Amino acid sequence: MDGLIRFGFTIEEINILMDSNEDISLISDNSVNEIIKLLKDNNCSINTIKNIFICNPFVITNNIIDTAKLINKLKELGFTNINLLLDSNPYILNISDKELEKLYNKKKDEGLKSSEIIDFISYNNVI
Amino acid sequence: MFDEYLLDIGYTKEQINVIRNFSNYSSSTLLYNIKNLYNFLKQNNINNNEFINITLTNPSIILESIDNIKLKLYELNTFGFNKLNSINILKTYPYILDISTERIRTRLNKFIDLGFSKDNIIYIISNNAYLLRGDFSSYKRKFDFFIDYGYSKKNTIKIFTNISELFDCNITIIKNRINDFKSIGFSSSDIINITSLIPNLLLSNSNIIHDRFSYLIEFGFKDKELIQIIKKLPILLKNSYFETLNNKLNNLIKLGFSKDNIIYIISNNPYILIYSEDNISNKFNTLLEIIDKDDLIKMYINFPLLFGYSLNNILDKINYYNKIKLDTSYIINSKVLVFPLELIKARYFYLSKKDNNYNNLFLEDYKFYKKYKIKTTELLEGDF
Repeated sequence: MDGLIRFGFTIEEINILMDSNEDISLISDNSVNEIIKLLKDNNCSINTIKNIFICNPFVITNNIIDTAKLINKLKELGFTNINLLLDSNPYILNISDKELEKLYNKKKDEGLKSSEIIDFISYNNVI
Repeated sequence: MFDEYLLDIGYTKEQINVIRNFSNYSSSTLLYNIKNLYNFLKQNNINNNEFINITLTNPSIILESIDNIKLKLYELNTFGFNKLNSINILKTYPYILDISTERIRTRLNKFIDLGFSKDNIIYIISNNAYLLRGDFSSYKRKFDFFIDYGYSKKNTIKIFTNISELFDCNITIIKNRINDFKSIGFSSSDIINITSLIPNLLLSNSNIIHDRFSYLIEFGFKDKELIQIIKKLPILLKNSYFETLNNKLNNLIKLGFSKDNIIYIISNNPYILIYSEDNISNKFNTLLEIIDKDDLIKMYINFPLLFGYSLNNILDKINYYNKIKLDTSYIINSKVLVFPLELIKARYFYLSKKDNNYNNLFLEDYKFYKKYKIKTTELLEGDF
């Protein structure tokens, strides 16, 4: 919990997180710091990170390697502003890189262009 | 002497007879061994009741030399079991002393060959030490069943670590449970996802979906909608979530949403069911101070993602839109609240120089690029 407090979450906000994802109480500060660093490395501001965690508290307990793979896949598919994407659609962090690619290809088969697919994923809860 | 010593420890007369009669050794020999064993185990924090239980479960322990017992415990310690684990194993599974050290070592290595880490194995064996002895080929068959079905090795290991009873379970039970999920409408990959997340569903009652969601079905959700909800968010099947569903739905009704609204918004954003009632109510009531109730409900229905966003995120956007005197109808058309504030500010700055048509603030990126031939990265860098 110290990791979240040091980041700027209030006790009330941490309680909100734990109400939604009880596994947060089991996570180490190191793991919390790792996910915060990963998001910061992708230009997410403090407010964006807070919004991501509050909206999708499972991000904190997801496997960091899987989250990093997903972000890399997003970049590979053409997403340039990961911070903006995650601000709009924090739930995207719950899908795997393979599921993302499957979704992308499905939309491509439906006739959408790359930029349209990127927008579809950015502004719709695709989970 | 024999009887008094054992009575002192806490044995009943019947239990003393069991101990006396389990072997042909004389009472004096048994007494000598029991005293040594008692002293040794007492030093290892085993209390009298536990001692009695160990000796009654496996009376042959009384005939074991202390050195031999120490060797077995040492074998476990070498592997990585700490003293507490080892003693607990002895308490819960005294038959460990009937297993040779070589066999213990071989068995532990077999689990490693399957892919379990030492930590997994210590956890599994500490809780189910009988796995040191059972038919390993049967355990492997069950393990391989999962791999052949399509579970990743990682998830299979996770499942068996969490529910090591699966090693001993009749494989037909697991197959039947998988078929039950299939008959409800889940695909193999859904089943793998759901049971990897909540492994104990594999050993649960076959009507679990209907039992757990009976309230939702009565509420008005159709089976098909529930299946989609569970596919999107299988964690809802966990006790801690489904037990509170009733309260959460009632809370939404209290806030002013109709049943049809609720079914719609949850089908679109099942994450609503993970947020506490206080979380949702506090946000809703704060927004009520600035937005009319009917408009607010309309906003949430148009944009179910809103339930998840932090209050600050929503307020920052609304305050900015009010500042730039954006028409309220645009705010109520909630999709605008999806757009990141940073992007909207950059677009507003750009449009205020180039174009008065602020309706285009909320165009999706590719449409904005098509119309104005400027990319998001350029807008954000102010490079225009």
